[in-house]
Amino acid sequence: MNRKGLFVRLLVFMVAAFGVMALATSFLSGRELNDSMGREFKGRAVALARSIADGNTEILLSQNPGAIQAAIDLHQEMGGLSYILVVDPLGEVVAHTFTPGVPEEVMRVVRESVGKAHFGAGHETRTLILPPDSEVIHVAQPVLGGKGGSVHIGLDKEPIRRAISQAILRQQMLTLGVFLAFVILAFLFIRGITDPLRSLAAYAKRVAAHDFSATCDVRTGDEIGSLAEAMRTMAGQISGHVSQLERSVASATSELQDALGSLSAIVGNIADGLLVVDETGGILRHNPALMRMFGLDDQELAGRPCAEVFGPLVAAAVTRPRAEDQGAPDALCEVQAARADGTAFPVEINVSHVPLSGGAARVCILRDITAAKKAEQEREQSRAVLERMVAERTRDLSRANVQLKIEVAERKVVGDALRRAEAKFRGIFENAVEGIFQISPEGRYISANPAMAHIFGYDSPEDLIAALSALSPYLDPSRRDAFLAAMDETGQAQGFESQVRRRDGSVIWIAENARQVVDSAGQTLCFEGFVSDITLRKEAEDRLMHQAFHDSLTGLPNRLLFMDHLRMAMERARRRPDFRFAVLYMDLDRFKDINDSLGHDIGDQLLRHVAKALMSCARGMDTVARFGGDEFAILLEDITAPRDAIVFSRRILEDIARPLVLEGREVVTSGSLGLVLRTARYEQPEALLRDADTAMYHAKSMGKSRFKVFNQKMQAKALELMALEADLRLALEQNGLTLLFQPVLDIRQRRLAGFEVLLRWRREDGREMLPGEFIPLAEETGIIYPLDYWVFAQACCSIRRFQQILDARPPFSHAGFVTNINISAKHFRNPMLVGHLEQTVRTCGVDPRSIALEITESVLLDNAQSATGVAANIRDLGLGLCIDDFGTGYSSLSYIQRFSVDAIKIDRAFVAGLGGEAADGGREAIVKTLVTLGTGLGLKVVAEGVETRAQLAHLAGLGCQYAQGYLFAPAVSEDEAARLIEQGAAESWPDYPE
Amino acid sequence: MSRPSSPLKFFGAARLGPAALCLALCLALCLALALPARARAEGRELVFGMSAAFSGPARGLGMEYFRGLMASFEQTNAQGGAGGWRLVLSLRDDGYDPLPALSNTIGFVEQERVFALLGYVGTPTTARVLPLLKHYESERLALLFPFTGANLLRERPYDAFVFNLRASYNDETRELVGALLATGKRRIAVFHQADVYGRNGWDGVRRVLRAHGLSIVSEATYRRGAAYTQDFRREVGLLQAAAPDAIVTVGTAPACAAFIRDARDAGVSAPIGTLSFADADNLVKFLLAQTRVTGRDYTSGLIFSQVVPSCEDATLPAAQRYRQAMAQARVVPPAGLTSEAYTPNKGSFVSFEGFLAGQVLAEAVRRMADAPTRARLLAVLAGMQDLDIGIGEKVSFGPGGNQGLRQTYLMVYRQGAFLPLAVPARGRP
Repeated sequence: MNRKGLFVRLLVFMVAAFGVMALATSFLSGRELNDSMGREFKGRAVALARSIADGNTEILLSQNPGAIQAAIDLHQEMGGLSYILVVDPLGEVVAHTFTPGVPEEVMRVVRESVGKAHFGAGHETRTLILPPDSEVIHVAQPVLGGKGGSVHIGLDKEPIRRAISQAILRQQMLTLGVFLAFVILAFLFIRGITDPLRSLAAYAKRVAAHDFSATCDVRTGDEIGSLAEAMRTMAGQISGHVSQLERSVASATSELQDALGSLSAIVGNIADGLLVVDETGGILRHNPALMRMFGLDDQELAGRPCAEVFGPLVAAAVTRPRAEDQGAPDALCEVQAARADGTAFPVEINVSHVPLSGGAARVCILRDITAAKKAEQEREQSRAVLERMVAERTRDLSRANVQLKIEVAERKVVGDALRRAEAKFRGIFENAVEGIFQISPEGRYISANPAMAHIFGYDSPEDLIAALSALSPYLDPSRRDAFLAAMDETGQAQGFESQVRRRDGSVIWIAENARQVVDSAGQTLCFEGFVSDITLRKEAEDRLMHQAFHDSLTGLPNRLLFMDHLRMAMERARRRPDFRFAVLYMDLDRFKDINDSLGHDIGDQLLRHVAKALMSCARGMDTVARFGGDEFAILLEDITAPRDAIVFSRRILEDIARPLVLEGREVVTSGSLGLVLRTARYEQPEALLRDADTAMYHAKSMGKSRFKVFNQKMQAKALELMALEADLRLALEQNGLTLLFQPVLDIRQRRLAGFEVLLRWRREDGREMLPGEFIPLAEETGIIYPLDYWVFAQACCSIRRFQQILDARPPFSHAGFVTNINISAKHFRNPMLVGHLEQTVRTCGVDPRSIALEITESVLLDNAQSATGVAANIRDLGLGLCIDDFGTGYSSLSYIQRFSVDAIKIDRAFVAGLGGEAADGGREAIVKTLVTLGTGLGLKVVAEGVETRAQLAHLAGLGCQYAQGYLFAPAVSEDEAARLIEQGAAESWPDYPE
Repeated sequence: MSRPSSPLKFFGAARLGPAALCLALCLALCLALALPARARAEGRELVFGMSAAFSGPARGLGMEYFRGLMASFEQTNAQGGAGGWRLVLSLRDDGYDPLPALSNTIGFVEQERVFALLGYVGTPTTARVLPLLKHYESERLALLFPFTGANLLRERPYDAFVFNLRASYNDETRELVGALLATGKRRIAVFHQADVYGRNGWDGVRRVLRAHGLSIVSEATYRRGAAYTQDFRREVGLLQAAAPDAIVTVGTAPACAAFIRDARDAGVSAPIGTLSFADADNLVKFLLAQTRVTGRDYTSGLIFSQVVPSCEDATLPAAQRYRQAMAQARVVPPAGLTSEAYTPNKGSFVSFEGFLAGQVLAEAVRRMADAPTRARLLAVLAGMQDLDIGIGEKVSFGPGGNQGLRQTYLMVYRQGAFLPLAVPARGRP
């Protein structure tokens, strides 16, 4: 109950205060409300009465009860009045709203009011009790001061009272509500104050009882909170002090106990006797050792005099007055003491003075020294024995010494012999030309000779060993392991070649030959072997290797190496899908011209220059190769996009096209490039290279200094060519080719002067191929050789037939009847040509004078040097030589001279310009010049493609002797040709056009 | 609602939901504003608004008056209308309560745009409507033939808009009290309704007595709306205290019947007079029913003042027409007007009065058939003189008067029929 004291007291006080306030307020306001509402209702009644009286004055004055009744009915309905009564000035009731009749009380009032003198002044209000039990406020209101009668109204008080009591009730309920709210608030408020106080008090009580574990969670921000905070701080400090105090007491106590315990243990266990006596010699303490020393029973001696127990000598020793000097060491003396059984023994006594609270005490340590004295005597005896033994040993040693000296002398003789042998071998070792070494099985150098040091560039073998034991000389670190493995496996190494680094850093090749050295147990002792420097040999080998794979002129890789690299690149591309490479094939434009006109030196220099330019354009990983002549190939590896190759190609072409000066002459060249970018689909490097070549040819045919990427169209074309080639070969083998003979006429003598052999090829699909369509292919593929041989052989046979026919018709012979056979320019590079022709001519048995070879101007132009020789050989055979299409190429008159040509043919293009309406003066002049030239040089001049009489007439006019063309006859078969001859065309051409 | 053939309109507000009602009101208002109020273009019909008690204790009056009016309308319409105009009646129930009467009237004027108000029943209800007529003065709205004899309707300032057919209560009390005085009665008590109607009757009695130097010996009032079941023994006691030798009651049928029952039960044998508003036919019904219960004769000694002759009087052409019309007409109050059952009388003073009012109205319409307007209606009625409607007395309005008939008829109930009272000559004791 005491705990609740403050809380209850405060709460009761507040409840009482609020209660009194609420009661007072309720009471006062109730009264106030009652009064004011009563007044208000009364006022309302008066106002109603007045409004009825004043608002209906006219009706009231009319004394028309019906109208009056209507008016008051209206008012009664509207005003909530309990009744309305109207009386006339005489006091007679005119109208009313009572049922069933006017109560007597009201009538009394009416009567009273009529008689009253003051009634005219204003209204009169009173309260009436009407039967059966209703209270009304009755208001009498005179009309026009009573002249118009008066109006009486009654307002029932019951509803008024009810309204008032309801209002009061509401008001009191409100007050009660407020009161309760205040009580609850007070309860909460007081509890908010007293609760922390209470817990604070409890906390203080527990702290006072030394219960520091208690906590107080009052943490308000007010005074109680700060009080609690102070309490907590205080309690914390007190708790700290108390616990510290307790700890220090406990530690001091335990230290003391430890000290005491150890002390008594020491005292009890020391071997010496301990005796503590007072100033007068009374025994204070002693220990068991003392009792044992003196042979006493285990009895308590404390308090007894020392002299009585231990005898006077001991007593005198222990009680001897101490020296005056305070700092003097404790006295040590030796006395004879007696045991309890009477035996005497020496004892050493050490006395020290200890000041105690009850006077000074002497602490004496007594030691029985009987045993110590005995031991000293024994030591003396054993030293004498030892001295005797030493003397005997010394004598033995000197004897052995003499023996040894003799053995040493013997060994010296043997050693000398060994040294001589070793020196001999060392000489060999030191002076050998080859390096000689010994290494441990682990690969460490044990010894080496100077030659070896020399090979490795060291001054001495010691330097070598010191240097090489730390690091391996091999360029390839795995070589040492390989060497050791070989030794382990086979026990020897033969010609083990490796690259090593000399001391100065230069790299040399060495060859090692080594063998295993084993001891008698078969255990490897070391490896020993020879080293020779084979650098020179290696270099020679490398050079050879390089030469095999490189072009000697430019130093670039040759075709062999390029193909190898290409193969590897294709391999790589197959393994790595992202690996891309490109192949470029380059040919210098008009290199032959330069070579021919400026000489081979400049040509070689140009090639070197081009090689350098290519190398400078290429990256390290790319391969630039020269395939011989002016052909180069470049392998671009690991390019990111085809564009790289294009850019590279442009740069190369630009670089090469730059003019350069060689030996003081400006040389301009250019290259044509063929590229293969889509390299993934190739299986064979040869095919790839071929396509690059094809692309290059395309580039070249489009003009100089261009590049062309190999594409599908080229491939298609290439395929077509291949098909054509195959077909052509087949045709050649299976006689798919036929020869036609174009008559050549002597237009002066109007007779057949010979034929031109024309080749026709009818393909399997029936298409007639003209020589212009397949000869270039044949030339390119080399078919031209067998083809031309076949043509030549066939033609020879035909010519022989013609000769026989002619010869069979005297007086004419085949003399002057010449058949021309076309032959490719290619043959003029072929030294076999002449021999072959000769053999054919001989086999057929034909007169070579009847045969002339037709060649184009370009043959002479392209291979002026070799062609000259071939032409001469042909002439020697007796064959004629005719230049076809003379005047269309780079004709040179010197060639005619040089090759001893005996006929020229005027191209049909010039002939076509003669005569007719579209006569061309320029062409006519050319033809005229050619004819003049030819006749001047003594050559046969043949006009080709004569188709009109006008042309013929013109040619005849110009003095041209021979002509051929459709005007005379188309090309005919051999049989028809033979028939022509048989019919005498060689004498006189039938149907000669006039 | 009303059948197309029936000259009856009923504004069935009670049947419709509030929303539909609002919509209907709006539509009606629009229609009404767009059309001239004097005539319905398509049907050539005139609509008259009637607000009366069709429920509550006074419903007998409303029902009977409506039946008479309706019978007359149907007869007129059956004969091609009044000058070609069909007469249509729109009904609203006020339950003999002034406030609904007021709102009904506003509805007639504002929503239905009726041609005129017709046949309002009851003094307090009509009295409340009168100021509204003043308010609608500019519209020349007329209240025709209300079923009340109150003076208010016959005096300024409302006499310009109201046309009464029947005699006033003053007329009735004058005749009734005069007859009582003539039979030597001097102590006359009044039992009246505590409202304008009652006060009018009371005043009428008082005036007659005062003219003879007498006054009312005792009086008692009752509150309007009393049913037949109400106990009036206290009121009987109040009157009895003055020992009256005659009693005039001014009330409705159930109240008067209950009073007569209690008075007779209390042993009051003095003659008791009633006014026309007491609806003699229904009053007798109550008393006959009471007689069947108690065996006592309640109908003797009763004097019924009426403003129309008995419809049973075969000499009257109007009565013949009335009976004919009532026999032909199938007058049924529109469904939804009231929930209270009512058994109509075969023939009654009230319905006969209604029939006569219909006849007068038809004649008035006929007289302005070329272009009926409200203003012309007032003029036609005001100029109506000596119109023979077949009851002997001729109807005359005219300058200085808005009451068509002045004669009253005193009746007694004998052997199941109302018979004229043999009135002794005036002045004779």
